[in-house]
Amino acid sequence: MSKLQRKISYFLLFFATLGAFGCRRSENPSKESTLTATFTVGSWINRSDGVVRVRDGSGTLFETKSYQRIVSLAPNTTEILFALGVGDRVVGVTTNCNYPPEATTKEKIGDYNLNYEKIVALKPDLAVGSTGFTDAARSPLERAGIPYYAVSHASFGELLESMWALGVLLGAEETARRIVAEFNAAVQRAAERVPSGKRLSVFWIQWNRPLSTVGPGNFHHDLIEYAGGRNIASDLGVPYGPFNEELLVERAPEVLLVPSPEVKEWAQKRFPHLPAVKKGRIYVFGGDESARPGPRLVSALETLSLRLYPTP
Amino acid sequence: MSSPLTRVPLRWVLLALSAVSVTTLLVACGVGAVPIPLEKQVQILWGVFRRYPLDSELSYAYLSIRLPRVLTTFLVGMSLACVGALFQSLLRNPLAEPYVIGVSPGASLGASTFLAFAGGGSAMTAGHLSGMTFSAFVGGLLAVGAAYLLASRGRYLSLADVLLAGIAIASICTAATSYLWIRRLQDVRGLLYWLMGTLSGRSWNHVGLMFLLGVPSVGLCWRLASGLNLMLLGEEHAAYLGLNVERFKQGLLALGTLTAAGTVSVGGVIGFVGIIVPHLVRRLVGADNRRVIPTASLMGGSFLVGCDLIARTLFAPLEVPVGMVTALFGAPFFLYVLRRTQRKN
Repeated sequence: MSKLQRKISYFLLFFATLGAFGCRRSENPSKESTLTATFTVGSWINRSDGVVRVRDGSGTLFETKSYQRIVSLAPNTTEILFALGVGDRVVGVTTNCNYPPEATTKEKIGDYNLNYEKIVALKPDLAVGSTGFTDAARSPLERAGIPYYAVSHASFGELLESMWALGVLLGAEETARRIVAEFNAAVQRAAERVPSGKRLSVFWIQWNRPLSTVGPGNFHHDLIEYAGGRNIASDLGVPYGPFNEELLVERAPEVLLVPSPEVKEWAQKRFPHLPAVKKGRIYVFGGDESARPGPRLVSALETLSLRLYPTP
Repeated sequence: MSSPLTRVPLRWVLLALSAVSVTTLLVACGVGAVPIPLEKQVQILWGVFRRYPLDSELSYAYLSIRLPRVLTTFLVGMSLACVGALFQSLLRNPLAEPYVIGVSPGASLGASTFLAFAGGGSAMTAGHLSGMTFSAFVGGLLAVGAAYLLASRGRYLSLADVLLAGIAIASICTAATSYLWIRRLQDVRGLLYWLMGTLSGRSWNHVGLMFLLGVPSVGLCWRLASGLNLMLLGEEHAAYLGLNVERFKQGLLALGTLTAAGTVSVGGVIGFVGIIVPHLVRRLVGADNRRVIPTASLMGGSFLVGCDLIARTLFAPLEVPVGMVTALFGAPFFLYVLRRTQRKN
């Protein structure tokens, strides 16, 4: 093979590879048409030799003992702790923790940037953080001898396991059981609203520059699916990321969820041919209830389910 | 210089590159997450010509999403490479790039300020441009304007001082942007993608803006290329040889800045194209700016179109920042050319 021939074949190979990628038409995976689930929890609890051990979202094991001074590192963990009824044992929260109202009276330990000196000064015996949001806090806290419990929320299932395990760890099993039951009831009610076998296709615009959305691995994806919708970005491959605009047009969702009235206006102008736009099914959906993986997701689920399938 | 292309007449180089550009544009218009075959493209364009109403989603996706994006991308790449070549000669600094005197930190600050204070007003518009594009443009110009004023004494402008003042102003802008991010913008993850360079969501307004900025600046730079060659000898020598140095450098600096601010407001911060493409071209066709400017412009345009094609198809439906692709694919190629031309010297 001459040098020139080799060069030409490399060149062709390059373009063939490019073409192969370009022409790989990504199929919109369709799932089963009805979706019901009852979450069972408890796989993170290990009871042996009379000792109860609880794991967290990262797999770390904790021995149950009476934790009395807890710091909450994120708004959603604050909501979980108060919903579990252990709010009186919380000694520190962030400035972003605005729910429930009694949380705002607690000592402040920073915002997204945590003030570690303040945390250590509060002498906590447990810190509760949120996976992906407060991961950086683990090593400084553990170095200071404060155990760090990570609540994970890649899916509804994981979130419920986390809340249940935290309930067991803090001796609040009864309230934790009620939270799980409320979730299951809400999922059940949402499933019953879906007309037999027909789930609406949904696209949730999280941000418009560039057009970004949610995929599996993000509790927002589960929120869509358990509310009875079908996320058209279920092959996104990452929990959050930019989505190709042409594919949005091709997959033609029946419902669009947008974060603000401004983005709604933008979407109407940019995608006038989408069934969702033509039928006026664009809903502003967001706010703390749906943005925080915690107990209030129950009401976000209810709201979304009623948006998708309004009861007459 | 050793590349065999240095002796090829410019018109043949440009003809070949034009052919490459047209091919790249055609491929980029046809290939994507939704493939649009050539005959369908012709059919859609014919429909526009005959003023048929837009019938299908496909023609909408082509006319309002694909075509403006591809054209904007070409114009952005072209402008970046041209301004890069311009600044490298003008500032006599091989590491100069389109964003060198604080354009991109200024634009980032402009965009972040807009998002922080206009709240969810991301659909707000100024004239035909979105509020974010507009404020990024203004931010970039203000930052460079400040550097320019601080570096000039009377009618004399020291280019070295512009560079230094630009670096200082850039750090102030970066600090202010960080503050806004920490205080007000924690949930706007999308802004991160914008800052890494993205060409998603471009419309015909962006094509218009880039056309108005990019095409005249390539034309002017090409026309003034012999002056740029003189500047490479140093300001004093250029003046001896009859160049009105002050007017020349101030005018071209303003032109380059304006264009760079346009590109960053339209495409975000796309690295690599503006610095590597001109150097690549110098290695291939020689360092004469009369050859470098047009060659780099065409090559920059088609290179960015190719990179954006990869950015939007490789992991479809997910899009990756185009700035990542330019570095990932461009750098190895540049290293290859670097090695090859070294060996022959």
